[in-house]
Amino acid sequence: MISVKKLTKLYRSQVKTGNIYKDFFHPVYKNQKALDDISFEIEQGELIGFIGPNGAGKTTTMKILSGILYPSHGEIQVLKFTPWEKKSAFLKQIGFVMGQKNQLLWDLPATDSFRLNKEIYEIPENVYKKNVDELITLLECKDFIHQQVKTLSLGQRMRVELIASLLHNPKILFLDEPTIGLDIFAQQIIVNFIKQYQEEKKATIILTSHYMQDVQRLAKRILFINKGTIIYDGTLEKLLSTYSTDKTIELTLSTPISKEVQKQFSIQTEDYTFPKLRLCVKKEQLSDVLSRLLPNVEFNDLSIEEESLEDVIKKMYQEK
Amino acid sequence: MFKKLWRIFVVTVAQYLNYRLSFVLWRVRNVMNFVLIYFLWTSVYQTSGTLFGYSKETMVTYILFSNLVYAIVLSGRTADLAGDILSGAIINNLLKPISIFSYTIARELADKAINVGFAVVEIGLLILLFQPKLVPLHDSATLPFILLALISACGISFFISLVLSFIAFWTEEVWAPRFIFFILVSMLSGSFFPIDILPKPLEIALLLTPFPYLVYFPAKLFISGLQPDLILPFVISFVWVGVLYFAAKNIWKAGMKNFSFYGR
Repeated sequence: MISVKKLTKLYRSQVKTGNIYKDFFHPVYKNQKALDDISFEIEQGELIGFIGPNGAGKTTTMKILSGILYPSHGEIQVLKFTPWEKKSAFLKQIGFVMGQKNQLLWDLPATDSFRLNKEIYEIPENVYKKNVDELITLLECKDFIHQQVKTLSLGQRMRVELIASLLHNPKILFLDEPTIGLDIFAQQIIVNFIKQYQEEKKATIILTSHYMQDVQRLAKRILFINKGTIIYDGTLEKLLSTYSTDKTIELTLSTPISKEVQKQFSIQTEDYTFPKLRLCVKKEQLSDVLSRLLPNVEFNDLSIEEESLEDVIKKMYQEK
Repeated sequence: MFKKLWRIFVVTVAQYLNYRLSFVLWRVRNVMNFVLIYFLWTSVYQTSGTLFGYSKETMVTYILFSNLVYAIVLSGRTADLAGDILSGAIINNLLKPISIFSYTIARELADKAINVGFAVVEIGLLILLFQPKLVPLHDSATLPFILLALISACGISFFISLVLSFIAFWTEEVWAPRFIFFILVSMLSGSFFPIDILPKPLEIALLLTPFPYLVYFPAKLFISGLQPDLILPFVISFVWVGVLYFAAKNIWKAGMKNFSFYGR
């Protein structure tokens, strides 16, 4: 459904030397690689979580797949189309929601944007009615669709943005940080909705988010991208089992520990503020460390935590 | 296709109604502009009955009609595109299965419809207020030609304005070129005075540029009727429409390739 082979995207930007004359008459440009020779395939009905730090190339990839940007090199096929040719038949099968950008008519109620999209996407009246009603109910928007978009809260606006992008039943949906800046309730509504929508419609969804809970709840497959290259492509479980090598022991102490114990287990000062003690150990050393540590400390409470996805990701950022 | 364009038209009108104050002030500016030119010319005619071959009535008629032509030809929404490109909002258009040209034309037509509606009312009021002597339309056979000249004028203004907006693909400094364009329009398009009062060589040189075809040419047809030498100006104006259309199309394509929308 989506096939990307050896995709490279260069961005050209001017290097300011500080010399006004030179910058004006002999500007120097440099090419920056936003994407460096990446390849992947996506099948129909997959829900992909695209993760990586800011500036890693996630949005650039989505913009190329949806035809907004031209690639510098590489072969890309989406639904058997070349995206940047922007054929109507192609654009009618995709939807793109950007959390950081307003796509609706700012000064009119959302319903005007819906109507406009109905005509632009040539959606038959009955399909339009059915979709609008369904989506409004699912996203709980009934109370504010007749309000000017500019008067909506961010959470309300994101919900109507989703409706506007889904009216034409897109086969591929790009969601670029759909939950950015939302409170937990609004975030929950949107995440639940995406899950339900994908299960019902079997749409292909590509999602980026900096909230790992979103990714964890939604995506089965993760594409981890950093500095323009893919550093991991596979299931979430495998990512965790491969990269999650540590466990954290947390103790609530009843008496402070001695200097010797601190030294023996090389406990960092930031990990120990009486009565809390945190100890990060390799999985295979867990039982050994515990058996040596416990006789030396008095404690009220003990827990052993898996590394969170956030921790794993943080480690991956640092490694690569 | 028509339904799409109609919906964009309706939405654009609805958006206008949200910003009544800006719109009313814009129209006030146009009325004041007209009143200024009107008084300028009436005072010029106080000492003499005919100037540059124009009687007072003909000149006032020219000024009134050119004002209407200006409202039809130079009103539009294309200037918004520059801001959309700079902010990245243009991405919304790129994702929609409708070409940017059709979309903008529909918005442009809505804008023109509103502006022309108001201009007609204003000119009516001004005629009532000042009761100027006017010359009637020379010959009703001229009407189709005036219409053709107007369509071609709208084409020229539309494509020039598009090109000026597409500059935003390369630089953020989009307002300076547009400002210069408007200065050129006010000097050279004939909205302040008919071009043929200028010295002959200057008039001929100007007629090779697109500017006189924006206002002067349709307005002149109104007051002078059909002349034997009409073919050449029509040809020149059509050539300009064609040239500017291809320029706009290719600059758009080049801009799309060049632009990165980096971080936008």
